[in-house]
Amino acid sequence: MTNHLLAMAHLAEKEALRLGAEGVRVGVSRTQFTSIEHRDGKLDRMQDAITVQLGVALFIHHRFSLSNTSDLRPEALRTFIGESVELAKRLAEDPHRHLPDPSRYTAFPAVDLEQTDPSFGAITALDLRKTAADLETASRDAGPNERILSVTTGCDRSQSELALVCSNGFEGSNETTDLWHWASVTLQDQNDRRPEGSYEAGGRRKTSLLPIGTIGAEALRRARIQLGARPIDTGVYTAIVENQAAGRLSAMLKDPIQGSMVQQRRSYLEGKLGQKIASDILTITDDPFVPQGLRSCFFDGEGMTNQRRPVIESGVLKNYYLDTYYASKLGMEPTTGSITNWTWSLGPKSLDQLVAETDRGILVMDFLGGNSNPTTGDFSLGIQGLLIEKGRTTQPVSGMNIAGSQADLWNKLAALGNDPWTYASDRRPSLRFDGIQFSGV
Amino acid sequence: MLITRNTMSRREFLSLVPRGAVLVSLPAALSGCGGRNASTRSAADLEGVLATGGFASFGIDDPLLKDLLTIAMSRGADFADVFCQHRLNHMLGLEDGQVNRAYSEVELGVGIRAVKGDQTGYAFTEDLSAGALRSTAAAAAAALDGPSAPGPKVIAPARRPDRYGLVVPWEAVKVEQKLPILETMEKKAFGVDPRIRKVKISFLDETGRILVADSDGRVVEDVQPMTTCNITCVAEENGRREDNADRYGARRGVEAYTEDRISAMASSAAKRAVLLFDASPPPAGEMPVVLAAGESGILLHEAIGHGMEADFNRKKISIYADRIGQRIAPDEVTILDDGTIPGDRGAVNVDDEGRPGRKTVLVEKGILRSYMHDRISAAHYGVETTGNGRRESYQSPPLPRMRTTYMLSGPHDPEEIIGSVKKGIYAVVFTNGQVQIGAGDFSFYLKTGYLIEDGRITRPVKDANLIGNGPKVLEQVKMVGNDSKLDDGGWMCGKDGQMVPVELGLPTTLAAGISVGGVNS
Repeated sequence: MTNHLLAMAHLAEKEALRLGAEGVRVGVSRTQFTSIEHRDGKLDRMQDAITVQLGVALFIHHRFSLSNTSDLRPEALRTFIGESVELAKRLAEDPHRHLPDPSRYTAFPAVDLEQTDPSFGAITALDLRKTAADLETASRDAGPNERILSVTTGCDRSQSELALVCSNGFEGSNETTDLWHWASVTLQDQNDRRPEGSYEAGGRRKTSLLPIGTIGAEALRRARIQLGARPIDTGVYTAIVENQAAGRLSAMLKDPIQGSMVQQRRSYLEGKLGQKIASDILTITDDPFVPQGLRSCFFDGEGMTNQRRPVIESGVLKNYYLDTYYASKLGMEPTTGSITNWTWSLGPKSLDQLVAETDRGILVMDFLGGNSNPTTGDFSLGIQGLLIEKGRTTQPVSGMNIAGSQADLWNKLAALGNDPWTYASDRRPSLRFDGIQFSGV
Repeated sequence: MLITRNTMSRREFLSLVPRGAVLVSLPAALSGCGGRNASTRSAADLEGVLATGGFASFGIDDPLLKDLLTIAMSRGADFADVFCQHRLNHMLGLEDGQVNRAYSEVELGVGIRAVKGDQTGYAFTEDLSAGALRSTAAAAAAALDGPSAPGPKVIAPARRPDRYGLVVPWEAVKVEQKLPILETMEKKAFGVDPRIRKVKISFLDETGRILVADSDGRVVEDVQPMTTCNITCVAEENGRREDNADRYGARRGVEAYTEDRISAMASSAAKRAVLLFDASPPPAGEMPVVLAAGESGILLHEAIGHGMEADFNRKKISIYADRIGQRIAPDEVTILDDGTIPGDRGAVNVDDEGRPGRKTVLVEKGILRSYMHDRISAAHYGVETTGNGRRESYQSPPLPRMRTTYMLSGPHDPEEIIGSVKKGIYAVVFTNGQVQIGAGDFSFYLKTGYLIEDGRITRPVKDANLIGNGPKVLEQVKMVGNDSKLDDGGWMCGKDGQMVPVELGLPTTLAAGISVGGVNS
């Protein structure tokens, strides 16, 4: 099948070149998925489809357009490419628009990224339906369940292929499989509040899945600990952010380290390469070669061969994400415009140990809304979790915010857990920050 | 990428993120009718027009539609529908003084749904051959178990209103006509203040054509225009940087971009950016919040809107699930969800189940009146659908979704409302929000506002998440202004992994029970 996608990409490439494009990059993706949702004793929704998309980036006298289509009938595709060429020709010339230098298309390292599951084909839609039903039973049986109002569970399976070609000498393809199980439990609380707890696990291979009982128990536990949640006093607390939730914090870093934001002067990290921007204990590496990593790939969106790169090393900012265009605009060497997997330095302690050694703090288990300003680094985020007193979690909190500046936050990072979250490409551990402003009542 | 497996599924959110790099091209089969635009015809004119006029060119005609519906009904469904979509959009981007990028997207596909009670089987295809479509119908049916039910004997065009008021279809607007909009806006933004250093503008137009046919024999087509424009200005002063934005979104054509609108957007974005040099994060903690008229309607969207979508209620997972007919707010509060406002971003001639968009009263003088329904929830509750069945595209089944959600004016003068607050926040510009449907806790992010001290607006504040509990905040609405205003800010609403365009509005409103995510010195 991937050969078929490559052939399709080359056809589109040829057509664009014939119509006058000087440089062309074509990506074709195909995804087949089945998605099951099971609710309160029966199948609620089943979705099943195959989708194929083709995207063409055109470079014509340093003019640029990017077009996507799902209309792949040969005649329609020719018209589509013709119109994309005409569209690009009407734009301003921009000397920074060009394909990557072909020297960036190097041989791939000889490692197995383990992106597909050889046994994947044996999983049927009926298997998924049965598993989803079992997940519901597991959630209901995991503990006291008299308050349960509703349980929704799901199983998702997908298989994707991608082919990418560049007219100056790149051809690459990638195949992935995905299998995920999840459960979500809603409970009756006082004041008609109906807190919901969810949990999910999965990944590229069946071996990434957790036992069904574990997922059900976690979903129920996460709903139950919210019973009676309310805001507590505004103040400065130690914050321990659970690994699952901590990705919301590292996501705030992902805009300001983009070359586009730096070049547009919308990054508080502009001019900070080589400088300390975080606590000494923080090291984050962009690693495209993590086995079974959810963003592992040998090449990036432009076809440039991926490399392992430090993002932050002992608190020092080491790299921006620079695609060919913004690197050229900034007068720098491209790195890559695509974030892959983030691996973090780890500490020696578990989440439980971090909590046990905290005298007064808040264990943040989830975020609600909020935003961060990449230009200034200011942020403000809604949180929910548990109050920690003398090393023990004592009461659920919700309806509170944390706020501050990112520069300050990352310097307040006091400890990292030993528990990387492997169900995301950003494999962050639990994090402890000292002296965080919480607003409540 | 299409799979909704994340734990965000019931953390509904609202944002200003435009749809991905999108949009763009008219396929050959349609180029002969590029100038035809059903939205410029009256509903009456539509009758007598071949039902599948626009989609016949893709090989989808009435006999095939009937066949697909029959297959979808073959395994116990009590309802089925076929949703055909062709949508193209173009986006132009201005950065560093030039319109130097264009993005476009063509979406073509057919989604087929088989429904039995609350259960849904859904499948879609981008291959419009009769064979692939029949397989897709069979895949939708396969989710269900039961005896075959007959498909429609005949399908007949349904009437629909016309709310988009498009003068010139976007397909007929050349790139050369759009470029000056971006270029003029940029020049004007730089002219507002010498501290403006960067201006970035994106401009999007979209033409969506849908056809919905269902097992009741209804078939309806619609052509749905959309445009959005975003301008971001970066300002510098003494080594400090600030940026801010303005945006516009409507179901209108290029005529919406008058000189006045272009100037106003440029001026607003630039002035909002330089204002932030005087701003700081607000103090932290609970305090009265005066919501300025207009985009503060994000409060309604999060505090009550999502919780009133009927799917969450039939599933018993919304905090409003048992509250119809009960008082949830003071008399001054009347809240609508409206798909009928001409040219408005939330307007729909028909929803994505082919039912006319309506004006739905959610809260009438403080009493909870109606949920927002799609066909499944309407059947569950034994009521008529409210025309809220919407979807992101042919790749997803419809769900109850908001259109334009707003509050009617109350009795108070806005000055009186601000004057009543000793210490609080006057909230003006927002970027995003989110809600937990079951717990009712919601948040909305304040990009720009002001402190109120002793009844007067004083210094500007920025970047604070506001958080509250929906029913508690509504219960405690203290004063409603006489200046209800609809925003036109191009909002996108996310639910269950699907993004749809929505709009919102509010009069000046005094709210309590909101915690401000600020910083205490």
